[in-house]
Amino acid sequence: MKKVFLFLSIIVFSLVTRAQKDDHTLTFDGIGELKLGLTKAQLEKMLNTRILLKQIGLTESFTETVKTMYKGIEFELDLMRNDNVVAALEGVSTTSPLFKTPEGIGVGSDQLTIINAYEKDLLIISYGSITYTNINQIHASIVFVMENKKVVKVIVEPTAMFRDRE
Amino acid sequence: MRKFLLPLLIFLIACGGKKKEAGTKNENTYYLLSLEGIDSLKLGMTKVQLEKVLNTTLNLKHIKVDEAGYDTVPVKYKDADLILYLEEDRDSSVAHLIGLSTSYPSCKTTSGIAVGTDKINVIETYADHLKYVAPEYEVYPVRSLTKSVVAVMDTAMPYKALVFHIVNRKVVSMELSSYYEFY
Repeated sequence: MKKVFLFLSIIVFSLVTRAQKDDHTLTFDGIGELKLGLTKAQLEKMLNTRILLKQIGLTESFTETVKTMYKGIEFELDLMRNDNVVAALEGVSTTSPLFKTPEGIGVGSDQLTIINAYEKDLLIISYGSITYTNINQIHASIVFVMENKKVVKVIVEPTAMFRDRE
Repeated sequence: MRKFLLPLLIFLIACGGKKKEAGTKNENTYYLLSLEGIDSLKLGMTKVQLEKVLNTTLNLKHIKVDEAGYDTVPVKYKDADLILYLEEDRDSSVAHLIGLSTSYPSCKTTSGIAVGTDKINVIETYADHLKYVAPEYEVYPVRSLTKSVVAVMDTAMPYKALVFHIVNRKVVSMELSSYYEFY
């Protein structure tokens, strides 16, 4: 009996530890562990792979989008040229429904839920997307890409207003 | 008896028809608000043109008086209360219409939005337009918990907008603005 109890405890403990490790947050800082501002070197270490750039450093382009897998989930990384570190993470997106904002919004949420959840903040609604920005800190935004009034993709990136100021 | 009944029946039917006609006419006296203006008041109309339509003189407190260059003038258009926003002109036309607002219940947009419409209906009605949805200031810099705004941007002119002021998720007033910018 004691052995069974010990075995079960180990399983429960490992599951809890794993759940705590898996970051499924969707915030203005990034998606899960993929935070805006991470350098190419930091990303390569996290992803355990080399990021091969085809634009930045080779052409006049300042930005480049790279598809990658992280913990079995597909992400798109928007990298921006940076004089000090070659490139850094400017934006990140995913179609995974695992990632949710603190208000519970993510892939699969509907338009009405988003509008009601962010009444205290700025929403910029256009055909095909809803951009959510904290009204007091307009540096970053979460873009909900919509299809048939449902979120199909989430993007975290600097707001256009903030980007224009830089 | 039958001789009396037939004319009486005809009379009653005629009265009923007339009453319905009058009712229909009353229901249709809406003033249509669009991105161009409201009813016969259009953006860009000069002070003289506005005065002719309104059949009154617009008394300006700032334009050609001080350096402000703008005036807000409450007017009566037919039976509707409106506020007109005027901008100073450098030429002889003095000023022209750059916007207006109203909370008059018989004013509605071409797509049927009026005072009392749900906020979500406004958003869904203008599906193809860029919209800014945000709380309004209670007292600057404090944002309101009950008052918000839905600004529906024109698809052709980047700053022109229909601005719907919302309280408790219902439209309480509507505004047409030539220069809307979220702040």
